[in-house]
Amino acid sequence: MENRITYRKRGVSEHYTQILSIPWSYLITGLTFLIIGILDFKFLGNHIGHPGESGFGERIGQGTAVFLGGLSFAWTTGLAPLIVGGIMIAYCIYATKFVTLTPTANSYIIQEQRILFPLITEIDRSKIRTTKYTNRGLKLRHLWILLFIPMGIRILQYGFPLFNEHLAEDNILPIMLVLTGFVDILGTVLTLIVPTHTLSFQTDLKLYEVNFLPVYRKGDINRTFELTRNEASVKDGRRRDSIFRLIAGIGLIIVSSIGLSVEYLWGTDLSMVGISYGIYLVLHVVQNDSKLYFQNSITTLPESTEYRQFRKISFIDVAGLGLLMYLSTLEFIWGWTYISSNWLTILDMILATLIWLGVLIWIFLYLTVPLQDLKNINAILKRNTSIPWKFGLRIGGMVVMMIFAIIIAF
Amino acid sequence: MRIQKHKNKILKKIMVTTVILLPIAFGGVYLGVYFGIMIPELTSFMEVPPNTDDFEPLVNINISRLEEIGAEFELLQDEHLPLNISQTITRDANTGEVILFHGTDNGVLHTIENLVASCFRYATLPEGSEKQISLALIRKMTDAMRLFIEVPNGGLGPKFSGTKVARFYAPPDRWNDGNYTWIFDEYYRHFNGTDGTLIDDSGTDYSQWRMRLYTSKDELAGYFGALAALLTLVPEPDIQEITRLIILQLMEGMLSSYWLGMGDADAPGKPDGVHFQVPSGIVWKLLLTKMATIVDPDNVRYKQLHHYYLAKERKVNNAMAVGGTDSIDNYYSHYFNSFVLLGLFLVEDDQGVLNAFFKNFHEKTYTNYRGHRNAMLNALYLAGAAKSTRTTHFDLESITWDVLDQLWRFSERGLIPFDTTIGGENETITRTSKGSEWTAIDPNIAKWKNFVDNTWFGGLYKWLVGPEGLQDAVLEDRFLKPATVDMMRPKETIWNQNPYRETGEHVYNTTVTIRQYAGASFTLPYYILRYFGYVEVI
Repeated sequence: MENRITYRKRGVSEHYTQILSIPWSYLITGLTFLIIGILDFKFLGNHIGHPGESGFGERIGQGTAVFLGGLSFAWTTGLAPLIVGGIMIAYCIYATKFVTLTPTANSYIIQEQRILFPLITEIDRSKIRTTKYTNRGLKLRHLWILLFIPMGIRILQYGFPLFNEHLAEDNILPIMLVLTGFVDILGTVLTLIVPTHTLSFQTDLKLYEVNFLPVYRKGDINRTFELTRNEASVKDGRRRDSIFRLIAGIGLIIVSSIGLSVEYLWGTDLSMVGISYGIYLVLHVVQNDSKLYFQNSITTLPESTEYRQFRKISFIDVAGLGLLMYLSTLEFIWGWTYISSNWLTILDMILATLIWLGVLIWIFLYLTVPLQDLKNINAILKRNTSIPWKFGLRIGGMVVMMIFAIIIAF
Repeated sequence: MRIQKHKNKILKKIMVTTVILLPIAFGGVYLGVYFGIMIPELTSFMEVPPNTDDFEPLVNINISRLEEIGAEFELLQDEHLPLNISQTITRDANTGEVILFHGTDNGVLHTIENLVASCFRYATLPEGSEKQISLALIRKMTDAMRLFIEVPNGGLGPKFSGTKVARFYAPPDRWNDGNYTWIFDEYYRHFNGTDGTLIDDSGTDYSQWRMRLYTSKDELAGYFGALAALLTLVPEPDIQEITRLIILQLMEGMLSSYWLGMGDADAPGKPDGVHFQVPSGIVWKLLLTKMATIVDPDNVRYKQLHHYYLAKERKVNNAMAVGGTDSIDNYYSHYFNSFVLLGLFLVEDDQGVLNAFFKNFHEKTYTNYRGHRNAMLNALYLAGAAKSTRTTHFDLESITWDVLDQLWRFSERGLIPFDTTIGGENETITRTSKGSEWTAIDPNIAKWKNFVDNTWFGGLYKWLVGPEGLQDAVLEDRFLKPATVDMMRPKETIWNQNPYRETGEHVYNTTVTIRQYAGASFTLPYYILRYFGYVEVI
């Protein structure tokens, strides 16, 4: 019985665990996005087109964005949170559910009672090889970073300078821009930082996963499934890796913030990549090391003896590292090529060069040195008699991005 | 509950990836067909250098006569400047008296076209009375430059930091002048000036002046270009001081507003959409910061910002780029953007940067205009070539000849003054009068129209190139040969229109009135060539 739709309760016993799951972080973010989107349109207007000519919407004197006769700022700042907020609220309504986990003598019965599509699945206990309960991992949610962090920062960049513009009669526009920028960023962080819980069962043939965000629970999942805490997170190598990521993440956020706020050190594009990727790295560390996050499991599979040589890199890693490599190299080359002789620019380039070298070294270590070997860079060479293909691929990727930047530069 | 079969994992991943990639691939094909096939097919013939058989033989082009024409237009220019803004005039055909000064939405542009030409002329003239007359003309138009920024901001200089530049202005005593009642009328672009005394004691009360705002990037491109010309070509202390104050005023204004123009039509102090940030090109930033480093050489922040925009915003490699579609659509505005590049050629002193600017212009813009016979863009290319040490595979002599041939038609056709009498003929030369090859229309247009109208995939482009589309000019008829000066209707500048669409069918009745335009269409390209040494007057 897998994902059968039923409103009836089945197989309830006295040992069941029940969880009320409400994706409240999505709900709060969605509501905030929706409200800020509506406020943007209310206070900044919804016009498109030149004033005095036929266009769309009503002009209320809060400025025009993008081009002369263009859009009110609400379209550029409020539309995305409005749409995404609406989708998030709809998702919350769909995803709010009671999850009932019932062990019977031969199986586990998992019921998800939601308004639409209440599902029930029964899994044969004898076939389960691994049961895992975790709230770690950003999963696909990290894609929110790509959308709302650059957008929020860009909006803040426009908003702050407009305060107290000497000819303006009010500060409605900058207030709305700054509010929207902060809501975009904080909403994204909230969505990412509040963990979704995943209970998974792995059999020889299938992987079963149920996601929830508990706001109330009756019973203990760990006891129900006899799970033990996986302590990998506090092992030495993992800890060092977290510090390694944390330093890089905070460093990227600081340098990028300088670039974005005072136009120094890093250009806008590089800073946008840097701050987005920096936030991702920090969140990654928080998810792995904070006591709020855990991974409990039980398995009948033999413990893997495979030695994980390299970090698993995600799509964001590939995009972030590639762009960091390419843009910072290009800025380094052009920065020195077109240097002007004044102390502020020279200091800028010296600092930017040091940061560029730091970024290169960090990317090299991040891609090529195994978690356990951070203490000793040479360990990888000792451990491997030949260069593994993954190592070659990653170094090759770095080199390609650098060569690409050099070709573009010249 | 999410259930995945282990054995289907890879298959599922492939399917998910395919589903995600499909719209991306479709988007790529969609844009690829447009930018990779349709636009190149529709524009590639415009990249071919014009046939020099159509040109007047160089030996027949009398450079001394061109020099005389330039001087004549300069003298006539004085008539167009009642408020120091260059205005088109209408004369009584019988008495020759000026009976109307025309209003314009592009007061800045039409003034700076003539001002930049005058600056180039001034720089080429030897000391003497003619140079003094030229300087007097420049001073008048420089005063307009001052008022364009002073009236909206209440004063001149960084104390009145502002990004607002008026398109037009009129002092209060013009209220009852029939030539200017239009600007005193209520209209969304019309405002009273700013009382600068409320901002600073050194300000001026312009609250009874009228100004036309909602100023576009085209206007500002011209304004910036004119500042560069004044800065580099007219080393007179009074002019340099006004130029310095305007540059610093703009610089501080742009920095305080994060490069947003603040001339909204509905409310003061709100952005109007003139936006020197992405997605717009930010080549303006390079020019303004460079000029600011020249007028305030001790300001290290300006120098650092110029370096930042050049190298770190990577604009050294992107100033400026006008693609194939822009050479069909938006011809008007992209022509004006070229003033920013002209300004960069004038103010930049780093040879490496100049070479990069010229390379960009050559590869990303000029190639699309090579066949247009646009004398202004040709002159701009020649200016860049003169400043650059890079070699170019285009034949500079033939480009020079192209410009001279176009300018020579002013003489041949008697287009001085540049008015609706068209040298006494009252009509321009039509394509039909020149033979069938001049009326041949690009056959690719019909082919692509058929594709858009009669195929389902082509129909997806209707929002873009259909009759009401965003780039509707793409599928409008274009001739295979570009129009020459003698086919074009007289106007403030003839170089801001697509010459492949000009039919030459313009007939004027000049028995009662004659409309006369300033001569920038001639003087601007001519004096650029003169200044950069492509033309020598014996």
